[in-house]
Amino acid sequence: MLKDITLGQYFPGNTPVHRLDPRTKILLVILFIAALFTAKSYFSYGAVIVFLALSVAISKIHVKALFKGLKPLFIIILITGILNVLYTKGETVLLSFWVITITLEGIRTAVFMILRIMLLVSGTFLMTYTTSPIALTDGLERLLNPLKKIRVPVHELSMMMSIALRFIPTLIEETDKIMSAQKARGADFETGGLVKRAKALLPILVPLFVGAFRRADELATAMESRCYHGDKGRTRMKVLRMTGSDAFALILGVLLLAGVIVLAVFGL
Amino acid sequence: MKPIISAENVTFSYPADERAEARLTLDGVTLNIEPGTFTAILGRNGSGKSTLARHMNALLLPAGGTVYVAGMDTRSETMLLEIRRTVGMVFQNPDNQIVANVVEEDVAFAPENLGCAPEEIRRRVDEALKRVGMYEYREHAPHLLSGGQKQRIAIAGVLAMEPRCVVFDEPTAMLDPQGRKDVMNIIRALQEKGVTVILITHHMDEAAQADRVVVMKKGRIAMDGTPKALFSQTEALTELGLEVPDTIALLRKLQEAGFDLPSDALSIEECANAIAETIKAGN
Repeated sequence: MLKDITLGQYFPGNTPVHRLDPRTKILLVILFIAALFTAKSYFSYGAVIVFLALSVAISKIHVKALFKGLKPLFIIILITGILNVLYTKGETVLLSFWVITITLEGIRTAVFMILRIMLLVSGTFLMTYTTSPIALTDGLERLLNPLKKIRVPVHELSMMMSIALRFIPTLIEETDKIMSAQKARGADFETGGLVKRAKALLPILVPLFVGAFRRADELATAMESRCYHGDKGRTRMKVLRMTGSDAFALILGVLLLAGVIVLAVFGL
Repeated sequence: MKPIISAENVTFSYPADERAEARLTLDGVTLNIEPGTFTAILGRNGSGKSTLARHMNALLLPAGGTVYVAGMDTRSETMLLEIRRTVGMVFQNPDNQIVANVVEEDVAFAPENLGCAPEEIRRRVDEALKRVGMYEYREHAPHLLSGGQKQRIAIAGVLAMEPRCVVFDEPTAMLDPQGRKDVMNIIRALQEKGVTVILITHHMDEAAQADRVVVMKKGRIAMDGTPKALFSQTEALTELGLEVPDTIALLRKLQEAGFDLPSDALSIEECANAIAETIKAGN
């Protein structure tokens, strides 16, 4: 049951999207999100959708995989939709009974909101699906590098992030093991009310945490043995290099945002 | 030749918790390791063997006495990196030694820390992975590999520092028989390439493959000698809470049953030959 967590999942591949510099992809996602939140009309949403659809097509990521990532958000999307339909004031009343009034504007807003959430999540997922976590943290570290001047521990943060990502599968495996061990001794995780189930989780969390601390200690020793001493004098095997395709992708991203802004200025 | 690791009268104790009385974990250990040799360190749990190992690359510093690594005092902070790249260390649990979630990125961790140029890191990573036979797995995620394969990745991660000496702290304790065999083969291949090997183990058959065996008891060195000389002293070993290898145990039993056999035929071949000869002579 814990195996299908999609957080930080990466589908290796060798498409132009996979080959982009992680920094480019992070910047593109930021541009994409900015465009998404500026978009107000069918045209601009259309442009954003086309941009994402093209990226997905080039990356050869299955649309199914993207929708799978959206699944946990289904309830949030549903509630957002319903609230927007009910509470948006408008003039074109389509349906009205008791306290419920549904207007054309309400439906329009709801559709846009739902689209916005779905596109936001899909766009971000496309980045994590096509970029290895290491490349991603590496790119983030380089992008945030200027912050080192004001003493933000950028390297330490990115190291922590990549170690956390590295240990997610290990800890999930351990959780499964502990749960099986508890089940074998008669623990019940599936029945009972919320409080009872939460209480049943406690005997899992305690050994899991103790184990995580022990792991952390051993990992730190192993890292020290391998000459880790922060980022002073540290080099990288894979040097990040921006290429022509990175420039091209970034120009496309900027054009998308600019286009959407222009459309918004003209009230479209 | 000058010893690569030289411990002189080393004492050490962990900060005692309130209940336990303060006890010296290492109580005056003097040990010289010659370059290119294969030394096994045996001892029961709590005998201080892992603590001694952690002194060999300055993970722990001696409270009394000194430890020299290739002539460098482990207490010298300026030499710390030089000491750690000279003596690499492989630990018991492979899961807790792997830093990155791609095999080759993990092997690259140490040379990256040492500030090598990218091409040099690439060369070292490829070479280290080939030496442990995991080159084809270089782009895999470590958590999908078996325990033995993970331990080989961890060894490659240490070899990428190009250390002159590698300390193995019970590297096979969590592995299945195949994984154990693979790791032992790598250890022997390393020694043949001139790398000094120190192996801390619970398995007598692993220690039997070393040039020299050191037995620890209560923070002191209790026995020190070649495997042959050591393992034939069955009584002394039993007293130290250790078992003798199966071959020696078999020879002992046969001797007790009245056969005339040597008591130091350690390897399986030697043992088999000795028994075969006795049978032939008996006929």
